[in-house]
Amino acid sequence: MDPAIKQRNKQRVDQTFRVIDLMEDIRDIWRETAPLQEIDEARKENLLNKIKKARKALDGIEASL
Amino acid sequence: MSYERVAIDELMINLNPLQTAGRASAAVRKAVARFSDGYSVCDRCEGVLHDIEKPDIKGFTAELAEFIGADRVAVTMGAREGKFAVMHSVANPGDTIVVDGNAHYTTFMAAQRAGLETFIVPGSGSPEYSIPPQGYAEAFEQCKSATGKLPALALLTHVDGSYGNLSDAAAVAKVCHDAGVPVVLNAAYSAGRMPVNARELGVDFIVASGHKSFGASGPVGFMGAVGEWADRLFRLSPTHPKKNIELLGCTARGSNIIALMTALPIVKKRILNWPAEVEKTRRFVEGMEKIGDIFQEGVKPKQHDLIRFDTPLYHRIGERHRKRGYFLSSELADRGITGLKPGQTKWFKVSTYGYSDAQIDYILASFAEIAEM
Repeated sequence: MDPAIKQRNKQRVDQTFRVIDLMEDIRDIWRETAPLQEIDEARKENLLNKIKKARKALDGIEASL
Repeated sequence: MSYERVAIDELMINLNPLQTAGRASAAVRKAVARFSDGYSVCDRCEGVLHDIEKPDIKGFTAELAEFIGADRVAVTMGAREGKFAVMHSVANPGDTIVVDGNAHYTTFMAAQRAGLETFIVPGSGSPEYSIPPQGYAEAFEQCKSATGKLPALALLTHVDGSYGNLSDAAAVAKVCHDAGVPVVLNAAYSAGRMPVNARELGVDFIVASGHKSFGASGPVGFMGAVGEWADRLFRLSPTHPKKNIELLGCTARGSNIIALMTALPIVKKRILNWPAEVEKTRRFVEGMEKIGDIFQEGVKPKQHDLIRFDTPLYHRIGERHRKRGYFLSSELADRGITGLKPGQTKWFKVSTYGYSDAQIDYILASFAEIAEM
């Protein structure tokens, strides 16, 4: 296989798992705050950070198409 | 077909004692996502699951044995499979075993599958329902009178699933060994939540549950043996010399063993928090009993997070409510709390394991509010 294609494919898969991992972290935030899900500032910052990283990974996948 | 769960832990506080300490952490769920295919741990297998080094199941097995205080352990599909394997290894069909009166139904299933008779050590009855260690000596005598010989094995349920009582395993082990009877500890509700060490307790075998008390998505558990019993439990097949008979060769061959492996370091940390978990349980019991006409059953003060309440208060409300006995689970669901059996108001079981103080306060306030109906 062309090394460039190999590298592209690996990046796509890595970014896919990156998104899954970040979503699992976000699930834990919902669990820790259930059932009201009142998010304090520290959690909100953490949550926004994870969303940002997930968006970046999704953009990476999209850009590779 | 819908695969949506009834109790969604992201939306609800789930009080079901069967589930609270089995909730998988993000780390476990991430690992499971990578091993969700069948036989996913077998890429580098040379014939023995527990010898696989990539992923490092071999290293994990050694670490688990040290953690639980056994000379040898193997991963099973749960505690019940471990109980059967121990019984099947130690006793012959037609033999008798002695079990505590609070034993889980699967203890009886395992014995029946192995062709064994059971003698029961009765509990103390209301309100404690505890298992007196000396009861084992009495049951051994009864067994000897009835069958002409001692039982082949004794089993103690470390923490029972009805009252959440923590039995004195060390005392029971001493009684058993004084009589020359090997003992297996069913640690399904204890190991993984609280510190448990088979060697320190003096038991010969231990079985535990990953999906009940290690925060591992299952089905998964493990069994361990101490001393000379390890050779008996982990004997190899004469026809397939690499394969362990009681494990039918290999057991958990995918995401379940990975879940348990990922959970172990988390469990090592969380058991250090056990005294705080017990304190939280006691605070919860105090808060519930303060509502009035609610009584904790089992040993007091609580030594475990599984709590059984007698609740005439909610039963009375149910008698005049249009939803009858279903009002309680329905009212709790409206407040984002689940885990009680729908229709149950005379008594119920809950567990506070893993919940924050703020969540405990919320649960107490919800029960108090419903009590005003």
